[in-house]
Amino acid sequence: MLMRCILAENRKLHGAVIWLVFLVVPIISALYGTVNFLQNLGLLTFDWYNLWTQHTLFYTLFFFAPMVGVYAAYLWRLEHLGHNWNLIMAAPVRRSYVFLAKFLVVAKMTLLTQGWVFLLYLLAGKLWARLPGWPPAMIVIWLLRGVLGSLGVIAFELLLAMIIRSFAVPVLVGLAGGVSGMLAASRGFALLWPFALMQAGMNSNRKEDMLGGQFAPFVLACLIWAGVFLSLAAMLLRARDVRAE
Amino acid sequence: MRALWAEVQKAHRRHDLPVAVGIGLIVVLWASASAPGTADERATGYSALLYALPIMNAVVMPVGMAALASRIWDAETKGQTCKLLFTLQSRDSLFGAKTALGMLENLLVCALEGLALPVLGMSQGFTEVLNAGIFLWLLLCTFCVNGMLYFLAFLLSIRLANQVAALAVGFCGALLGLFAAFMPPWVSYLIPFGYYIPLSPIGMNWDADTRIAEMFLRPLCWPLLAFTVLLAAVLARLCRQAITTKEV
Repeated sequence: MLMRCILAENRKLHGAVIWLVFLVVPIISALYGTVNFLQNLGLLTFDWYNLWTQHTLFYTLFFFAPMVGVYAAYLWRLEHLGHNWNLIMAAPVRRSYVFLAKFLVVAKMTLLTQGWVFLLYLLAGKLWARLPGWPPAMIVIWLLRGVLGSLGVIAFELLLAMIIRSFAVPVLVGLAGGVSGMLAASRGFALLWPFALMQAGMNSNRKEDMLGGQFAPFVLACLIWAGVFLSLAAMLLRARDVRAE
Repeated sequence: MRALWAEVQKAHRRHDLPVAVGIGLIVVLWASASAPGTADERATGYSALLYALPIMNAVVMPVGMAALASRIWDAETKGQTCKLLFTLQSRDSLFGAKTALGMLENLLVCALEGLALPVLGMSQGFTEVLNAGIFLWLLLCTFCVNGMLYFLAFLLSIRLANQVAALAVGFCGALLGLFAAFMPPWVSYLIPFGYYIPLSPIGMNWDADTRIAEMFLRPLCWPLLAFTVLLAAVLARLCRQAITTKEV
């Protein structure tokens, strides 16, 4: 049943306009990052790590979380239109599966986004900046850690988009989350706040590993935050009935 | 007035007030986090804050204004109420009421920022005296750029039923506006989303060798402000046209 829910969510994404956001935002970030990298070679070292920081600094701090918000809000917006809520609540599947399917599909989109970010980084580094060699393997690990760190944010944004019947609010909350995550990480609370987990995982603003030997607590924190919001969503879907439009 | 009251009632049901306050609070929260530590930093506290605020606005406001505009029009899209509304009130009055509500929300966001500035200064013990003229200029510029971005998002919301467009444009605009701040100055004039930064009355000289930043007053950029108002007026006119010619 879960597979069917996932297939249904995937079909909703066919031809969806959010693919434009998926394509454009990392391109803007890569363009700016490369130009800035090449303009500041007096301050930066000509290597893959420094290109990484320029590519992903602002993207990770301010725009990764709202992007997840766009994905989440889009998937729930379709349910908020017309009488689709009635269909969902009457569908012969567990209600929590509907939420879980959306969660897995947004996680898949986030993984694809990270793949796109990496491809642009690779192309910009090799073809534009003409950096020698290949990017360190750590970069791929940081990208995957970013996906892991985003799980709590995905669950939170989906929960928000489910409760608040507005497309704009989850995106705005994503932006506020990005700012709060930056502040939490700068005060050493990266593991205690889901939006900071995403940023710590991506390691976008320094060469040294932000997690530095704290990988297990990081994974645990990611799973706990995702688990809390998923449980809350399942509880709400079980307890609340649909409100007629 | 009756049309505006109807919009205020809709906004009340949509909880627009917390959203507008939230937009202002994101900037205030961010500004409050960069508290100066040393006596030297406190002596230039307001200058540093007035320098940083436009950058923060360039990140937050394009998305914030898109969120406000999208919510104001989305109520009609989701409820499919245009057909009914156009029989009950003139299209001009609908445009006027939604514009007035949007600008009131914009004013609230700017007022929050304006209120927060002296409060932050007092709570963090700034020793610098706040330059009232510069402070008012910053608020005026923020209001005008916000207004321009509001009308752009409003236009997209009216023209396209899918609200992803308005939010996505605001979102990409924020990214471009922020990047413009770190590019050569002429680039920032090409990206209206980031006009907060070239309109800023405070500049910064960064000495890479000593790693010391020095704030300085910049001449007020009246032509750019006039261009912003003109752009806002053109976009407002396009919004009005979009409502008056909308097929229902």
